[in-house]
Amino acid sequence: MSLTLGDFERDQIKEVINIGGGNASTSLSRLIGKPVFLGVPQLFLDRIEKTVSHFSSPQETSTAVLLNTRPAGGPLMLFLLPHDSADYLVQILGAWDKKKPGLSTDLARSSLAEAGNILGGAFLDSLSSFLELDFVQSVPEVVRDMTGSIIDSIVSPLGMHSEEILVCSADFRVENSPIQGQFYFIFSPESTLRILEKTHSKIS
Amino acid sequence: MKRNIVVNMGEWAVGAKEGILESGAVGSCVVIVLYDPSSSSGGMAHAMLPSRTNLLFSKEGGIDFRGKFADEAVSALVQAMEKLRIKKENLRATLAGGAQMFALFGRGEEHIGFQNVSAARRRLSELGIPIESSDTGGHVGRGVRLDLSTGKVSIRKAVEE
Repeated sequence: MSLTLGDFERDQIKEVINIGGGNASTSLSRLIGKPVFLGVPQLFLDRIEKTVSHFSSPQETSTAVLLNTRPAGGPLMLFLLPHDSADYLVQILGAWDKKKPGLSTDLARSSLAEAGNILGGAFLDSLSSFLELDFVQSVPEVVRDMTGSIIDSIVSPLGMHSEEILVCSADFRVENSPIQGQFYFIFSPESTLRILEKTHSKIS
Repeated sequence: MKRNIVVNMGEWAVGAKEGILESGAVGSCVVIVLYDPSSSSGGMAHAMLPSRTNLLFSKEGGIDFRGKFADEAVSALVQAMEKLRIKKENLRATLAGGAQMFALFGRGEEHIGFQNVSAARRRLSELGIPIESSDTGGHVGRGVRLDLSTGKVSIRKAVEE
């Protein structure tokens, strides 16, 4: 299946992401008690094997919080933070262990997983409501590794189902804090068509 | 001058005498390295799926990316090296990658990382190419480099297993 998106369709999908991302940012802001700024959503549609080329510094280490969604056709949700941002977020969440810094403790990892749960839930609520579909998210997984390895591991299994991938992203940063990162929402072409059908029917 | 060639996901490359072939950061993908010490020639493939027979969608027109599939990537490397008059009998293989970084994509034999490595091993065995070394599986990403002048393969990990 090959998918072509015109400017109108791209704008529609970006708007869905903007609403969901806005909800997720608000939830993050409530969680840490600081204003969170969300950037303009970006979107790319490409062959799966080209996905890593859309990420800067694939050799650098990042922290990923990944959630899947059910039913099939929902997005994969990825929150990607530079590792120092993730460490700072763990500190704000009160899960930092001075004797075992980083993500070496279960508490540190589960604090990021819980943040992912809240962010993912906020995004999915608005997506479910907009599309009139009932998405449920999986238990979040937290991984720290090279960005390229993380992306490679996420998109490769999707290659069994499709040749192309649609990725929407939005940068976020926390005011007066070193915390910054990206939300990524990864759709198969089938689920993209589903979103477009729904958005078309809502507009018409 | 030494040249560095990055072999990205779904790609393969061969070279001789000098230069570096490097895979970039891989997770569940498998990196297949072949090397012939007698001619200082080698190749690298960065495959993301075990085989096109596993695909769960029908493709109009077929897929022309042999480097995408572990089994075909091995064959593509061998054929390219045979065109350079390198004897298959001289080739030695190294495998790296196939990590299982996220449990939500399955664990053990159902994970695509495991299947990628298995498919590469199977095709190498069919072609009678011995695996000299391997660093596969586990839960961490890897970066692989082949120095064509020496045949030395280096594997970088950013985090501890």
